[in-house]
Amino acid sequence: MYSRNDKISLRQVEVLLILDMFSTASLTMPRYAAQFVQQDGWIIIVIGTAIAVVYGYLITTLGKRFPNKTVIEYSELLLSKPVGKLVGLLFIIKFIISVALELRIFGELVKQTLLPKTPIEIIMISMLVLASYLSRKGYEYRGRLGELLIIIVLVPIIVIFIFAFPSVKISNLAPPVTGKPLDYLEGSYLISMSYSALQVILITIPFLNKPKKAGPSITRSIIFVGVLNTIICLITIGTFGHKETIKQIWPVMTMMQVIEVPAAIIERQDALMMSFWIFTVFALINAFVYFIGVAAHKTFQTKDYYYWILPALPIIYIVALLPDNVVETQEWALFVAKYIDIVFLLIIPLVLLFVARLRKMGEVNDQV
Amino acid sequence: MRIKKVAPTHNQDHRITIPISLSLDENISNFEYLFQDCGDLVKRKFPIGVNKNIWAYIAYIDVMIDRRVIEESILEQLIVQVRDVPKSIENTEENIFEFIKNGGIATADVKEIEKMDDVALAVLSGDTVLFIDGYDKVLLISTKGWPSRGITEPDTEAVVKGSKEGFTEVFRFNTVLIRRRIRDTKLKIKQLQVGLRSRTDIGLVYLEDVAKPAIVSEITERLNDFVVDGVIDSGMLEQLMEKDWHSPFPKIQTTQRPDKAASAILEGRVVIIVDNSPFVLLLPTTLNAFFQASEDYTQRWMIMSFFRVVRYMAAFVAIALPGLYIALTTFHPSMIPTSLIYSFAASRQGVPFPAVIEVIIMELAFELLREAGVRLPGPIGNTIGIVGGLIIGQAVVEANLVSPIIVIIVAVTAISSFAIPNYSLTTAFILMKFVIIALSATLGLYGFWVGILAQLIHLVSLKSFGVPYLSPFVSGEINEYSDLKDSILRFPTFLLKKRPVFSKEDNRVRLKMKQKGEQNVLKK
Repeated sequence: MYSRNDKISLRQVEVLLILDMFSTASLTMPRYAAQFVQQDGWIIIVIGTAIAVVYGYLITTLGKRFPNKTVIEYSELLLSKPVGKLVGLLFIIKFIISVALELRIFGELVKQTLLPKTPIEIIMISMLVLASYLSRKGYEYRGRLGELLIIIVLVPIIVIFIFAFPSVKISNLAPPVTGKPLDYLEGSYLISMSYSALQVILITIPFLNKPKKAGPSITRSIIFVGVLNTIICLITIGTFGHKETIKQIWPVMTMMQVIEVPAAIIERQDALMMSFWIFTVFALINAFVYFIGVAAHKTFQTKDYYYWILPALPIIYIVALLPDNVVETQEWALFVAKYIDIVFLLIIPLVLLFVARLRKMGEVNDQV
Repeated sequence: MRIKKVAPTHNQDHRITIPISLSLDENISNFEYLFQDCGDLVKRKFPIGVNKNIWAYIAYIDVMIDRRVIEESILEQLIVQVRDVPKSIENTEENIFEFIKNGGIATADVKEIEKMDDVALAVLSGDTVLFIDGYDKVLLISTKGWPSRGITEPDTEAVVKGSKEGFTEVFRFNTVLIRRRIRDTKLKIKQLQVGLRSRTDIGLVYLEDVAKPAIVSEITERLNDFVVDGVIDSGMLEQLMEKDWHSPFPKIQTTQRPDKAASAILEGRVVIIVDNSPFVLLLPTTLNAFFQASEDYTQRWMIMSFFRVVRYMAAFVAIALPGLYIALTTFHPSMIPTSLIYSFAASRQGVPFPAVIEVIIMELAFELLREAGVRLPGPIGNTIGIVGGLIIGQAVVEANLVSPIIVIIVAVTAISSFAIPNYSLTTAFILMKFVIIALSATLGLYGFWVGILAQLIHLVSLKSFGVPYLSPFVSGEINEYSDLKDSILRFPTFLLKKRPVFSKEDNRVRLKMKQKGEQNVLKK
């Protein structure tokens, strides 16, 4: 009567994207930023965000040409059937690896901050089950939950940040721009990859109620997350200085332990912060699990997407347990960010856009 | 055709199949065969007019009727008054039936019916039937009038300021209570009957041009989805109409207040009145609607906004507080400020159980008290409260079985859960609380959030007749976020210009502010 289970509004996709991009990557970002350019970490985050906006623009421009199709369907159309299937498979594998690493990092973080005596397996399995519970319900419900979670997550985090500002020492952030230009470039590139959740937009477009107007919403959510990340980085490096920041596995968590919120009835903000982070990580894992289902459904042309979610769970779980420890997991994640995400964020959209222009396929937008 | 005893009188839909014949004697014998051993039936065969050649037969159920109407408007008219009618008119012979219908009975509500099933139903609903010799039609005279409780103050949703009328068990009283509040011909009262044997009257009440036709037809469709022998109360109908049987949350709101029902109708919702039930159903509904009390609109907005916030917080406390306490004290004592954890520890000194067992003991004890007290007559209920709440509570703490802090937490949780203005939602929250307790006891704060998340997922997936259950907090754009003005905060009345999401898209304006000097009040 009001809405079906598979169409979501632009606002909902904006909210979901913010939740997806603002997840565990943001917790380690100050460390990577400081590694590249020391006290200027925030600069490369700004540049990285700008690069991510370009990815977003590219993906939506491509999506607008095929407003009713996912990337898998139109790459079949553009580059023959086998290539389309290959693209679909690549997406499935990429999503499985991404969600597995995210799950592992999340499990380690929860274990470290909240449940030191609980086996990590229980944390991971419970999160996976919860994520697939929502995934099976459909996109619309994910959108609605996103609208709730964004309030639950952002309001407390922003409040905590306000109390963090007094501990920032300006001397830790000065002098600006002292590093080598190449470092800035490399750093920005890596930071831009933390927005890799953007690749789900390639599959999201046909689920939108107004696919042609997706552009501004997506840009808005990238910039929103970019601003949050920049603030986090400024506060973290400003509080610890870049040398100390590099030493921390979870610099943002350590920063939270230092903050003192006046008149708070909670002693350790990091545990509180962790509780809110559970929601964003849940959103990201849920997104990947859902899109594994959709990608497999579109690739193998099955009756429905949710048949694929249950069989995917053990695979995700096994991949998540492959790395030996949290450091190795982060190395894997770094490898994915450095060399693999670019394929999905830039190369595939560029090639498809080029071919689409060449073969004059898809709907051409008036403004282009 | 006289019906033999072996012949079936009812078809498979439990409707009477016996036809009405032209002969009065045959009709009487069939009718009396149907009502065999029904001791409450009153019947009489009598002649009409002076000549005594036209015979009639009257029947009704004792005490279900208004005796005065029968005696003054029917029997006196037909037996006595008709004698004064000039002979030429009385003996028109061609159509005595029409004569009696139009001139013989001094009451407005007279109908012709032609089926024995309708005859039986009319008698059983408190109407009077009149068989006349030589006609295969029966006159139905409305004479309903049975003893009833009368309109009293609703005991479940009392208000300080506002209407004190409550719905009663009588269907017709309830429709009147609504009709008195909305004098509009567009206010439709669509009457149906549900229940093969109970034949319960059901009224769908809605504003024709405000309610969504899709919702009305969906309700009619769902009412046709089942065949049940009897509907005893609206609560039973509520559950038969719901689709998500696996959810503890009510998808249909019930109320005992006519003003609440009337304002729901003005919002474009459909009200279902069920005979014999003082609770009417309001649908579709949202979680937000359960937090709106009727007093919110009769008091000033600032005060009521504050209480709305209190209610929402109470809902969170009712679900979360015991779980949060268990999670923090057993898994993350370092999160609690030092001074506070000392007083917690001091109060727990000597208590032999872990916190979770303590909480479960006290929660179950409280539920036991509630369950024991709720069905007892007032004075004994108070005794239970005093013995259970005060004496046992005190003794259990002094015996060191439970720490005082747990008593405080359980009491606060219980009070919070009753601050929600709807009882069925309260009970849903009580159930949810135990889920959170179990998860918090096993996985600490992480388990607590997993539980909250699982409940949110469940809530977002619910719909009540097509409306998202958590609207306007989710999918607010289907009504351009105007419903948020009446959610956690209650905005000033002059700002609530649009009807909520339940209403038709093209008829959402409910308030227009007029310029000074414009004619604003209807004069009589």
